[in-house]
Amino acid sequence: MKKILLLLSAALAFSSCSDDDFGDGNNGLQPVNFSVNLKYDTTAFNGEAVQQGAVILTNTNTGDTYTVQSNTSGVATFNAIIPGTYNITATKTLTSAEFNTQFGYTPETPSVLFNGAQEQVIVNANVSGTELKLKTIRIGDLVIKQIYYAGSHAQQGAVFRDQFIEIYNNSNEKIYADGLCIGQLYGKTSTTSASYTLSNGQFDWSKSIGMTSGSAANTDYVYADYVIKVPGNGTEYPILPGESIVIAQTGINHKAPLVDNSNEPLTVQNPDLTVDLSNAEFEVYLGDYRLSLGEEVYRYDIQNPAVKDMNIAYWGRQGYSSPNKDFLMDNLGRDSFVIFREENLNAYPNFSDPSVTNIINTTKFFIQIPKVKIIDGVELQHYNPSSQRPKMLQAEVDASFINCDAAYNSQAVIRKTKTIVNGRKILEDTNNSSNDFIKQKANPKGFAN
Amino acid sequence: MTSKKVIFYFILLVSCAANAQLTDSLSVQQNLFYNDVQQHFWKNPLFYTTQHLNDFTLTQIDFSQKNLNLKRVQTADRTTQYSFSTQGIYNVKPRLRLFGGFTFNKIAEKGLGYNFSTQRTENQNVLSPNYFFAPKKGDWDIQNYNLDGGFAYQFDSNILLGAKAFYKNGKSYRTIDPRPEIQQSNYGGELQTGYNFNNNSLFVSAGIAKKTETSNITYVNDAQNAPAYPETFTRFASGYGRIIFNSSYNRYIFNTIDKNFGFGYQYQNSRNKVSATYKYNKSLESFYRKNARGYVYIDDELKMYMYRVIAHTGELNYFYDGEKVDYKAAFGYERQKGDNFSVIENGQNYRMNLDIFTFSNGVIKKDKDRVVYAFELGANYIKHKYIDLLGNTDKLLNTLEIQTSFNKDILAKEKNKINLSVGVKYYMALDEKLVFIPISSSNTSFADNVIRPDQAFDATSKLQSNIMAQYFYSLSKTKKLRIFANYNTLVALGDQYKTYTTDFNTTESSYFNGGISIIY
Repeated sequence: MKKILLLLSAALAFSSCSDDDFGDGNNGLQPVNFSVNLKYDTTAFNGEAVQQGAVILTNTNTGDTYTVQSNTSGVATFNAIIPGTYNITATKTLTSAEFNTQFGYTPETPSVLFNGAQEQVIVNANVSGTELKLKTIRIGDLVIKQIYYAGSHAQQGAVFRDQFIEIYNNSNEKIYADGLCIGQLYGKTSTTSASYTLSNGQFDWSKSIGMTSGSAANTDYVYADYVIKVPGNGTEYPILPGESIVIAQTGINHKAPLVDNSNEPLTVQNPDLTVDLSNAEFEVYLGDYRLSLGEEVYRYDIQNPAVKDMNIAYWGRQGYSSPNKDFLMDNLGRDSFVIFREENLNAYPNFSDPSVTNIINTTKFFIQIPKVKIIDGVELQHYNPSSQRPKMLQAEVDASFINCDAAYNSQAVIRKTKTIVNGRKILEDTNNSSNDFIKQKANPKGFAN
Repeated sequence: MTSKKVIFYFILLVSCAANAQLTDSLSVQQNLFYNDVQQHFWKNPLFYTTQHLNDFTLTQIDFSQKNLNLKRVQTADRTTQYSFSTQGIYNVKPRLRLFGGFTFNKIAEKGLGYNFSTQRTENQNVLSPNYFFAPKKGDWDIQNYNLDGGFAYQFDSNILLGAKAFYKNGKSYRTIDPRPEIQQSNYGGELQTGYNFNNNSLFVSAGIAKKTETSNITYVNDAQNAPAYPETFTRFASGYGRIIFNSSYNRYIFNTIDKNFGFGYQYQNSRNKVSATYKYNKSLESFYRKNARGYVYIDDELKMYMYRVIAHTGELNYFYDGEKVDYKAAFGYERQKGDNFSVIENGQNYRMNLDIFTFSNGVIKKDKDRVVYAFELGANYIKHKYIDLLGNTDKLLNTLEIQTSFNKDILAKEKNKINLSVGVKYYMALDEKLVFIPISSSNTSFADNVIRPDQAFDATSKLQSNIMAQYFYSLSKTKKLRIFANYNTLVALGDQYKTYTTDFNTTESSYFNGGISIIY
């Protein structure tokens, strides 16, 4: 019997009924209260509480959103929200008079917009709140009006060949596009954290090889793998108030059959799915650039002599050319774009991403663009919330993001019309793309429905 | 039936049999009545070291088809299955018995929605949490291989030793977007030891098993995996009503460790056998996501969700082995508690509690090889409770099933025998409640299309009828051919479903199973 008892004891020990399988997490998750304390940026402003600021919490697990206004103490209190991981955005607009009252001087613009954002914020019973600093950046006179990155149906449309970006003059004065740069930004495509990332999963650029900017590398700059630039001597390409320029990947009529650079015919079964870009002001032709590298011209990068070519301002560090054969936007929406002006782009340094520890022949380098130079920026996102990436743009440039419903679905993101003054459409620009844009069928020079 | 009457009936059965004397061997393949004995042997082989079960090998191929109309949502509309199986018990020596089996089945499921897991709600009310799904119905192809075996041995010192082991392997995939593909591997073993003194046997057991499911969900047209296409957008159920995004849908692993221990006692004389067993089982399933570079492997850093089920099972069995009449009776109680854990949120939102009371008994009268009749009666009472604190679902269900069956050899000649079996099972919900409070905008679709229709099914009274015919042909003295056909129907008897939905399919479900076996 002793043997039996011994065996029984061993069996009990082997399968002991432990309740520590979940560590100290044997607590039931229940809706919790959470507060966001809004303050004006302490560096440029006074760090005081932001009253009546609009705060939006978006649950990254479910897509659920909660919106609350901050009180007189600057605190926005969310009652009974589901524990989880959240993205937080906050906005506040001050009129000139309100700004003067708050900060003691009159701003240059009739109103001043403040934005703030935090990503991947854990909300649970142990975390009851966070603080958010709101910053401001100038509202651009030129704005990105439309980005057609999704492309059209692979068999019936033009796939990705018909992509374009449209820039709009949202001011009441003529502006020359000459020298305007468009930067296609680079960042990490998953929110997974690593030793070379920030808490939201985005690259911690301060850890890039050769970086000397410290934490400002993340807060004061963005990083682009490709930059294209409008040609001209400064007064060649005016954009009148309420007018726009279209910059095509390939400035041809994509609705019509054509022959590519390999002399292969390309048919479009359903022209309604794509767009005519033969009237675009500019196209991005990389043929000459690729020939200079000793590479073949990309088969779909068809030159249309009637459409002006953009200048290739940055396509990777010299000797480490970035791989895209054309101005290709990610059909899934994992790019973001900025427009800025800089005469001497060569003065900007470039860096490998911080996951790189040894530079080799295939290392890619990304040009560092100062945030203060940015005229406008739009954060795009993957259409699948399960595949969304961390933000590349600071909250004051774009507090949120926008995306199409899918890839290859003929949709573009297009800026809303805010008002019409004397027949001129003024577009929405709150540096908050989820508020400023809608998604609809791509329409060069068209407006949001 | 009141508990006093149940106890009285059990005592009556025991007292009737107490003085009978016979020590013949039992052929578990003789009649459906003995299926329970075979299962009991498979679970507790040490209880059979002194009782002789006839050697047998059964090799079978069979076909089954289910047309499920009256059903829960996360079950296929139609299932077709082809199986090959072989199993047997071999008395190598008087004190040594071997047993084992092999099964291969190929299953084609048509019209399965809201479920990308290997579980189905045909025989469970609620799927265990942590699975991907999309609403769109699709067809699945499934293959499974199961291998199991064991031995039971009694030493001269009356010490008993037994062991069981199994290995299962399976592959499941869906044939339209979204396309989950699941590779399953499951193996484990159990060691039993005990002691036999006079007519008493005691044993203790301990076992461990590991199950790994490596899965991915792909699309031919990945654009369909977007909220704009809600029918094909893949999401993740982390509870019962809590629906979330999970970026690891295209690569993930479930790893489950199952541990158990138990003990049992049996009293046995030449005719009677009374046994009591207890088993504790803990199953801990972990979900592992892909890492930053897209690889998935079993590592604590990649663990996202867990699900634990702890079960306590007690059984009381009685068997009387008479000269012409055998009796059996069984009582069982099982308490299951399931709860989940989210590593990111560091907490739990889902709880499941099941209290399962089972009772069955039966009698069989034989005239040599001919079964004059066999009659079985049983009942199951189950208390269910499923709570999702974040999905805000509270589902309660108290159900009663009463089942009875009767079979007899309607023809018994020297070489030919035909057995006919009929049975019915009545199901009713004694009490039920569903509270679902939408506190977010993301989960109402799942509640409207799964939780409420399933509660409608669970609340509705139903009757399952069964008829089965078996033809036996003696190929030789020790070899038999069996051809069988089995037909079941399930119909709704009540309209309790109207509380939850007006659009509920009450067309009867049917099940057919037929095949051929050689028993030798």
